Amino acid sequence: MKKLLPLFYLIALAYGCQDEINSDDLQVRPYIDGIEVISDASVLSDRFHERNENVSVRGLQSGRVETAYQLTLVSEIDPPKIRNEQTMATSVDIADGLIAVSYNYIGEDFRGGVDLISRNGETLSLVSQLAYDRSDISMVFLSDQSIYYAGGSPDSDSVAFADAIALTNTTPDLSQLTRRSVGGHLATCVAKSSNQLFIT
Amino acid sequence: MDDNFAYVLSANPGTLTVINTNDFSVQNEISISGLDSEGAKSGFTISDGLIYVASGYEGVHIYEVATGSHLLNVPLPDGGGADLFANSISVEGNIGYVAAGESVYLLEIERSAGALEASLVGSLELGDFQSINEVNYQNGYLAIASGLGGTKLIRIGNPDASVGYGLLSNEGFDHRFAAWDYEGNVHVDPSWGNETSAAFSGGNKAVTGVIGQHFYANSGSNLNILVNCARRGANNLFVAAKIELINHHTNEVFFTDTLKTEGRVSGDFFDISLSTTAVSDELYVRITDLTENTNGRDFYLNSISITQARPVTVSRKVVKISDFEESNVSNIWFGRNDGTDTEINGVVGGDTSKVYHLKGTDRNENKVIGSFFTRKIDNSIVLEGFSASDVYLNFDIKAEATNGILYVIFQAKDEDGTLRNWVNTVDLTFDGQENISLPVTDFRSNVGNFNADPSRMTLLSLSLRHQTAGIAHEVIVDNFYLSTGTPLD
Repeated sequence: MKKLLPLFYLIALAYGCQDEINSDDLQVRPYIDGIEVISDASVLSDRFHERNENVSVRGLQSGRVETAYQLTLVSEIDPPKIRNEQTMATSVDIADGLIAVSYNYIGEDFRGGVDLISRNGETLSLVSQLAYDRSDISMVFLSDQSIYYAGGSPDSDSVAFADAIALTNTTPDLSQLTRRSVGGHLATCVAKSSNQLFIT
Repeated sequence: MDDNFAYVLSANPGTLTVINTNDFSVQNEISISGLDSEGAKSGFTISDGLIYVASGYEGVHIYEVATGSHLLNVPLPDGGGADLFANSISVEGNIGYVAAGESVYLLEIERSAGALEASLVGSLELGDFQSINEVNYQNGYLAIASGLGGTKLIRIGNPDASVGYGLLSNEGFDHRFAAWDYEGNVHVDPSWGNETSAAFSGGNKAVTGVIGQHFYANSGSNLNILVNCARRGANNLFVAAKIELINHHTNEVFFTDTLKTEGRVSGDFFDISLSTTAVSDELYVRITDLTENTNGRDFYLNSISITQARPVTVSRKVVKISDFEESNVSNIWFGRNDGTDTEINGVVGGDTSKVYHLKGTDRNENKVIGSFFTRKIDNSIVLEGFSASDVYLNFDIKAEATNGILYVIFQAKDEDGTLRNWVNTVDLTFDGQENISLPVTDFRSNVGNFNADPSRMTLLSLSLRHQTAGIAHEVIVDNFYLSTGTPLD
């Protein structure tokens, strides 16, 4: 069921830039070196762990477990290793039936990615992964059967960029990847309104 | 971001800039406190007309979207030496999730009659979180991006049939219509309702509004639906709405009814009771205004609650004598007011882990005598998951004489932390062993009738006071239980 009055969510760094871009101006790049889509379930399952464990809420005043809350840790997903280095989860978005997680790398080098997790009833599955050999991904959101994410890459014209990829079912279609490079060291947030993208 | 506005949070100085996306003009710049840490990330969310900002070391600041006014600051708890830093927040309904360091804190929000209260009530215990970068809640799921710890996906609420809720509107079901999904001409204005929570109407505009919300239930359980609504317009005009329940998994409507207002006085709110059976564990309630001619007519929806029968998950022996702290047994004697020649003996006899003996003797007849035992519970026992109407204190009791009264007192903290003594009495007009079940609802507190939600109470101690007039006798209390469901036979 589509949520008709969504929460609005943006993140900004202490220092950043803001660009408003008509999404119609985005250039389609059928192929960008260093991006891989992984949808092999046997590969992805190594990182996906079903838990189904109760999660307690510890009362701040009482110090005891508060039982008024019913929480269950359904699953955990290890951050992907890119070029044998562990990345870290930077942001997460939830839309109908889909959860997207972005990853970056701490250090001078650039590497990152995006996970897509499907939700069918109470069943969660890691269905595909975008692996970026030479890009940090700071933030991701889902909209209109596409994923949008902000990041940085030395391969970009000016390091900071925002990408959009259409999804075929739950798999990113690299032939439909569009990229907009923006000024700055690292794009940290991207949001969409009608046909405008806002990038910080 | 919505169709007309983009909200951009920046730091040093903290500012939330509201941009009209049609002409890119700046509509407002709201000064935000706490965003002065260089290079740090802070997130915010907008919910129900309020801006919730994860404001670093200052915790959470809450502002009003319309005016930019600062309404409330909710500080983070003492980090035990570590400086906690709030960097992300997600809010839906009256619950928020605040990421700070390695923890996610639960923020309870209460709005009534224009007043706003919010406090951090607890933290999620998920072990080593690493460093949380973002939390995001939607449709019953909380997703946590926890740095090197990867991603945690948490279901809020439990659709498992073995554990359910009483009043759905208390758990994951937001009764404030402003938090619901809606489309078309739906106008939410609390001033229209007879409660401050919500109202929706088509106003004098074309009425095409639809309002709905996702919620969990136990598949197969009976759902009781109570709608409070009213009409505006002469009572011979057609004013009505349609209520539908939808299987979230299949999008099939499995229940539909018309909320009719014919014959009702304009502006007078009234209740409509409906019932159906949940066809799955995830449902969606949708209400559509059917009032075709809007001239002078409105359908007002004031409140709705959906409840389900709650499966009893604990039948017996939630508490038993052996759960009590043996070392904290205290025997308190009382006697005549003059306190001179009354001898009272109280004995814990037999297997002390199971039996109370209450025995008093009186050298002066016709005086009130008795004995008073209190036992504290080692680890306080939370009365969880059931409603007041089906909680019973059960005792196997043997009294060797009649004409006595057994006072049963349990001390508990209620949901707001207030310490109270809950008291009930048993008339000992019997000989021999009997089972006694005392509904918790029949207990009286020191401030009036039982008026707390037992599902949020913590049982701290049990006291038994035996009182009689002038006759020495013994009362044995064995096998004390706290149970739910039907009382013991």
